[in-house]
Amino acid sequence: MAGRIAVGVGDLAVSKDKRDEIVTYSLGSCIAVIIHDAKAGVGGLLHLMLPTSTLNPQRAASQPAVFADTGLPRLFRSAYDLGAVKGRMKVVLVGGSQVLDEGGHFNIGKRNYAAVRKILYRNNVLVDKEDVGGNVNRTVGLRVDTGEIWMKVNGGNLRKL
Amino acid sequence: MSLVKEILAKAENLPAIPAIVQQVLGLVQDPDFEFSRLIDTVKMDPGITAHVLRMANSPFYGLRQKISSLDQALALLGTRNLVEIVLSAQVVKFYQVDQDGYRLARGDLWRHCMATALLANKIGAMIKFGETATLFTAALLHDVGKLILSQYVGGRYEAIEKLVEQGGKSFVEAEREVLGVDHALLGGVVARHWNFPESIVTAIAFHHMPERSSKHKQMTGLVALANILALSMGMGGGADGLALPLSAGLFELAGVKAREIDKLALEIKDINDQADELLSMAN
Repeated sequence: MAGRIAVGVGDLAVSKDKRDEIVTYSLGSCIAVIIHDAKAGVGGLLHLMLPTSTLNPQRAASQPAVFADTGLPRLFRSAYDLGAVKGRMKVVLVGGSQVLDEGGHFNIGKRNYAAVRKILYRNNVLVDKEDVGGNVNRTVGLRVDTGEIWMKVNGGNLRKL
Repeated sequence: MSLVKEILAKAENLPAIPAIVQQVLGLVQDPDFEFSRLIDTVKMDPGITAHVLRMANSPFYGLRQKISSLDQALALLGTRNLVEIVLSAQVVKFYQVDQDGYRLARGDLWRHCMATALLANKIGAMIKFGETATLFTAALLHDVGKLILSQYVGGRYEAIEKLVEQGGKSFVEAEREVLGVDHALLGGVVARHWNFPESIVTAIAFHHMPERSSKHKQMTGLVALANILALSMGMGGGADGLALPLSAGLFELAGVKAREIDKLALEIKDINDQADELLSMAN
């Protein structure tokens, strides 16, 4: 069914339906990895929670989108299945923020970002744009037809990324 | 009337919390309480009884047999679940309003509070914290001050935002500076007005600065930790985003090892689904 696809925390979605918009709400330390291949008309969004699946391999097997190292391959493969090509893919990162923590215990956002960057780099994937870090909460959406990305920070006004 | 006085007056005029919440909390605080008394208390309220049975028969608890009585529900769900159902059913009513000032849609604040309560309970179980019902209630009500403060925050949002963005303050500090009171302390006033036990009043009032509470430090630390984790993992971030302070020594206060943080964060995945389901059933 065409329309708005809401991606939950630790989940992902891909689509090649021009009428679709893929949205994920309320990213704190989690990161949304958004991909779009304009030529194939394919878009995808992964809402990952944590950097590595070593934390809980069982969970990674049943819900790969929870972790960066299992979610990213799943996101890209799902997009390839719909005809997307790696070299044409536009990649955008959003999220990875954290609380005002001087001790650094709550650095999930930073660790998520580092993990995503490292995996993408190793796989020769460049990041086109990003809006990451800080102490904010983000909601983001992708239009599958145009590849346009909009976002809201702390529930404020919508703006294009 | 000064602004602070006006806000405090509103806190004290909030409708009373249903008596059953107090009664249930009072009962289960005694570790040797009799189950029959819990059942008798719940039975007094047909609405809650019906709600408990509906919940017990929902796929959420995955019980195979049909539950038709409170005794059966208690036997199969256990005290903790039963108490959680009763308390959340009563508290949800207070949260079912828009929180425009905090830019939260209807239900968002309740989801956040429910997630915090479920997470606090998970952490509490992990470290074998004794007072589960009080911890659950404190976590469920930790943002009750936002219900009142929302309209004032909305009206002075620019001043608050400026302090956060340019002054490097946390949102709570900015609330205090602009309005004279923050949502945590105000929540404490509400909890006291509702005659909650001191531990709940303290945990609510100090959930953004647990290190400053003089008593009930561990419970306050647990509520603070669950709140920060829930927000970090995207459960209910509004206008304040993640501009909240992390108290030094929070993990020590809560009695949790810092290296457990990812494991706890992962719990949010299931809690998110649970909170959705509980919310849909409460409506």
